[in-house]
Amino acid sequence: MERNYLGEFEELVLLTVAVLHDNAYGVAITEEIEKQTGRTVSLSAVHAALNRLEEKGMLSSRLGDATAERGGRRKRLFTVLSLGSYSLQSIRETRNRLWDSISPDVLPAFSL
Amino acid sequence: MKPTTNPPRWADQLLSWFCAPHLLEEVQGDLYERFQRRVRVFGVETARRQYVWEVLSFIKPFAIKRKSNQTTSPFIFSHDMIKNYLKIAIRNLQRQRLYAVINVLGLAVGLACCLTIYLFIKDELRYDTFHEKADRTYRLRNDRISEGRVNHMARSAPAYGPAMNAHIPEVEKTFRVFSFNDPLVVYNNNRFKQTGFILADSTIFDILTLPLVRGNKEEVLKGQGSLVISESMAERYFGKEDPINKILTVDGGLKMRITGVMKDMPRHSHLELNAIGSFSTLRDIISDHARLENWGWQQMFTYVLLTQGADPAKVTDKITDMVKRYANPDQRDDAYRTSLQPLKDIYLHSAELEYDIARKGNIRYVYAFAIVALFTLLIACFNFMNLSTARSMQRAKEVGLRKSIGAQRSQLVGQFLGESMVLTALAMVLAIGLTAAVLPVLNNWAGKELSLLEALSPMLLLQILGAMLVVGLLAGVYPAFFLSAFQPIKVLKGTIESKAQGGYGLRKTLVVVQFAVSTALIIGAGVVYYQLNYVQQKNLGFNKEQLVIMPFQTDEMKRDYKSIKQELLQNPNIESATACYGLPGGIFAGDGVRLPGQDKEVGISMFLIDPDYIPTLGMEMVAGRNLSDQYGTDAEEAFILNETAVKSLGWGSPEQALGKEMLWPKWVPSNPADTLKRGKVIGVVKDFHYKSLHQKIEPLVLHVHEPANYTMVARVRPEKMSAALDFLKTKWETRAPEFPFEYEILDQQFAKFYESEQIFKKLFLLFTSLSVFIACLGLLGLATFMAQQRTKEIGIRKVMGASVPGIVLLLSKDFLKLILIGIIIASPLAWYFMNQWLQSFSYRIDVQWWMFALAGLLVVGVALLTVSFQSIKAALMNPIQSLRSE
Repeated sequence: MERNYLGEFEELVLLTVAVLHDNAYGVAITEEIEKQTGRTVSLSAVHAALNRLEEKGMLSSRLGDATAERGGRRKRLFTVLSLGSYSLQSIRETRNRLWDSISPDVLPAFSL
Repeated sequence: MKPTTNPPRWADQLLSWFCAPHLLEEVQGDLYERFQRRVRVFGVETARRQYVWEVLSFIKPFAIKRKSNQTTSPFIFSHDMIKNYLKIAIRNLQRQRLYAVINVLGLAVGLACCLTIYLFIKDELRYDTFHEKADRTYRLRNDRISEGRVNHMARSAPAYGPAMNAHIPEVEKTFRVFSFNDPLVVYNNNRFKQTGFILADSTIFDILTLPLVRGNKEEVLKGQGSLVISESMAERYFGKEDPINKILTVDGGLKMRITGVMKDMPRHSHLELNAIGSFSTLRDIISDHARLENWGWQQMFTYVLLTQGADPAKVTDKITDMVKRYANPDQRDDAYRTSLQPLKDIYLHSAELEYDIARKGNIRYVYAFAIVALFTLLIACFNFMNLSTARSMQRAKEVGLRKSIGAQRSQLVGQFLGESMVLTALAMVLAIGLTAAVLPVLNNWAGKELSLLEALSPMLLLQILGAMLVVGLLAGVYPAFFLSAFQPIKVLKGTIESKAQGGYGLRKTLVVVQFAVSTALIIGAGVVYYQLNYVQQKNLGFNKEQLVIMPFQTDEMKRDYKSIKQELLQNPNIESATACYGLPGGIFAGDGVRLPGQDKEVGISMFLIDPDYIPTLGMEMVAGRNLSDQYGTDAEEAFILNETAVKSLGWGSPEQALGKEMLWPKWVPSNPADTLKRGKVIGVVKDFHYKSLHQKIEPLVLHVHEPANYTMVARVRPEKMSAALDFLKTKWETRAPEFPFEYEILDQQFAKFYESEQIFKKLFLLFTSLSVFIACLGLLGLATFMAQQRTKEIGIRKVMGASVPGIVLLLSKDFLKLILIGIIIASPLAWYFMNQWLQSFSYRIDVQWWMFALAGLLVVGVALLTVSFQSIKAALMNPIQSLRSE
């Protein structure tokens, strides 16, 4: 666990990269997170997280196409590597285990 | 999507500056994309603002950090490059220690000079800035211009102050100062000659910043005879006792009660104030109270506080009007022009003012030193430029190599500029150390109190840093551009040999300028030196050596002066003695005489003397006779004039003046019914200098008025001064046991006139020698370099049969030419400026050709010595050694 520790925001970013599949780059990831969570996310925070994840070996990147609205600059596209996938999986399993161990009626009820 | 909408350019530039190059493309692309979307959603304004925020939020370590193995576009100031630059720079310095030492040492000495002079100038400019209302405070000055006679005075008459208060709306407040001449102040057993003792209007505390420790400023100077003293003076007289309400006795009779204590004044004040008495106390001193409303009795200093925003020029005009309108016509002298002198200018701009009590500096010296400092620094910078360009050949290969593996020119410029900055920084550190070490000596020598610690402030550090950058740039910019312009292919092929001489023209020019400046400074120093010697040795028209001045301590002594004189003459060490009021170099009266049949008084200086005065002081009569006791009438009926007075009174020759009648209102008439002294001119004394040589000799009358004699002057036999002083001390102490014996020696008194010139002379000589030293250091470096360059040539010449003197001449000739050109350029400039300086003396030497010759010879001599050391070494070298190595 220690080795693969992921922060909450990192986890979100990593998941979003997976969600976006072939089109995971800075702006797309940022907007997807904003859409999914409803919070405002700064581009630099996403870039910082992507950078960190790549350094940890959870993501790989390659340069993609340029578009006019980017002023002719290429995007960097990210793909989840197996270490990233493993980390996400283990977090999910831990969570599931914990959920399963909560006896019913303990959590107060609320309606969405 | 509108293609014209772009994010703010500056934000983009900022981003590309701080963002690591390998991230820039994607980051900027993402930012652009997001920007365009926001334009669509929120509009341009909001999008631009948010763009800026997003750019700023990228200032984070991950975005700034550069990839370590970057090779594509090396960053000029990258860690590795700097390491490399430093290594190369240090290797270069180590390989050529002599040049390094010359560069750093020369620069350090130059900078130390500058720093010291900077401290000096700053100290001079600080005077009177501590007064909160200094910007609005002025002092009256009077300039009298009449038939070719010009007098500048700091004093004004007592009527001016109150009249200005009453009639000129821009005048907020005024105060008048009456200065005691260091009176004897007594409290119980404590008796001191008290300096800085004045009487002043109570408004002095409103205008000047003089915080009171005891008493309040409205009350302290209210009553006649009340007195405010400084803390240190209180301590001196009363120790730990409470000074308030204590009575001090001033000059034997006047009683003054202490009503307040003020903080000691800062050193940077033109006025020395230890004790301030109330102005009304003057009524105790002066029996003729009408004088205090007089428009012509110029014994006061009047200070004026103007209202906010008042124009001093307009106020000056109003003063002129006021005098015309209100002044008593009998007392008015229309030759006077009264004007306002800003408080902050008094210290530096009062050199020409007579009868002033202000401490004085001289703005001319401030300018002179600033110029010297600049020159010295310039010479040091030129050394640096010269040596760097001269040695450029040695670094040509390095430049070629760097360029061929991809160094940009800007990188090379940066490298060389950086090197010069590092050297400058090193020199600056040395200079600060040097200054700190030398300042105490200098202070002692020049009578100043400069301190590096006191001046130390963030501002000073910033200024030093700024100076460092400027000097580093100045010294390094030419070599940097010169070196970085080498073409790598030529350098590496070795065909740049001829090109290396490219800096030769500049080098020549710099040497010429250096030596022109040095020569000019030497000539300047020579003129200063000779003028001041001239001043000290000029025949003043009397013999100023061996004269002791002792004031009479009591009224009994004054009355009894004839018998005291007899007692003194008993002593074999005393040649002669005289009682008088009025001495050259000391204080004397400015009064007026009338000619029969004319109403107006003629202003004239006045010495009151006895028959022994003229022989005792060694003056010479040009016509008529001296006063004599043989003629019983001389005391009441005789006047002696000086030659200038004869001329100004319009009596053709001294002989014609004899027997002319003159009238003088007595100060202390023996018969109240007849206050006028009527007499004839019985003799004319040869003009003698009774003021400093800055000023012209003015009309003077000498005559007898016994009540005025306040001092005894004795001429002591040569070499017997200390014995005579012992004798005089015992004599004075038996006559007036309660007073300490006080004396002055006349020639020391005279030397005070030229004190500031003496300091100036010393410092000027010092800085001049330093600048010559630095110039020679540079020359030494250049000569060494040239000799090295021509090692092979010299070897071949020797093999072919050249003689040692021939080679020495060959090597020295080039430099000599440059130095001669320098001297030729410097001479007329130095002549012009020194003539300007000499104008400030009324009696002065002429600038003579031999001074230039001497200065030139000195420069050539020193330079030749420097160069020949190297050339002889080169000439003596064994040609086998110089030719063998290849």
